Amino acid sequence: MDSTIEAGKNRVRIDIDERVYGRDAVLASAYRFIDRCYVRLARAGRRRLQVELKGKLKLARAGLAELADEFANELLHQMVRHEVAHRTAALREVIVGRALLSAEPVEPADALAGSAEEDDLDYLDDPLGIAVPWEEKYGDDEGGSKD
Amino acid sequence: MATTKADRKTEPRGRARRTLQLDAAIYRRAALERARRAFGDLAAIEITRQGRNHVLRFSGMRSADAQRTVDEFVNYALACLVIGA
Repeated sequence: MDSTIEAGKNRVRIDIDERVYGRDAVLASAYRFIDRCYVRLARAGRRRLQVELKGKLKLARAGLAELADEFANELLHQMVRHEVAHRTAALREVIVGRALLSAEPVEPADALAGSAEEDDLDYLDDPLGIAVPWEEKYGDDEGGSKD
Repeated sequence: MATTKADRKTEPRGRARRTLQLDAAIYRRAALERARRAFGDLAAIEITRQGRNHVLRFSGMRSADAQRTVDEFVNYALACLVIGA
């Protein structure tokens, strides 16, 4: 990876070998810089990409060099992320598959049977005795204490 | 590398044009179209294909913001690329 600083134009150009860093990693890394830089990508020959980072704010030469170094670190970070995602893809599929299976609804036939029984009830019916007053149910013994 | 050129002909006073070339092997058309829709209030953008590049012609931009508009457009197109527009 080579970088060229053009301090007068407030930008740094970074040449990247696509055989080392995949394009997805380059795109993801470039995306991480769009809050601070104007980013442009181009091909720089066979299997090489060029990333241009132009500071949104005026940067000194050292600032531009730091930007290039940060980009190199970010590239490595994205490479690792991509590699881990690739390695754990099958495991993630199993976990999501199991989660979806366990979240399956009850059998439709059972659900219908239950709802059919409920359909026979009138809105005034109270099969669980919820509407029965406490006194009527347990007597007038306040606080529930028995002497 | 992508290039931007100022183009002042036939543009009303206070308005500016720019021409930009982006590599078609990197910037997908769908991403550019999405960015064009997003920037529709800031510039009229015409996208054509010339060989290995997309050629984008910006017009009707405020002169004071022309270059920034183009730069932000390219950032937005990159974001669209990454999210898979």
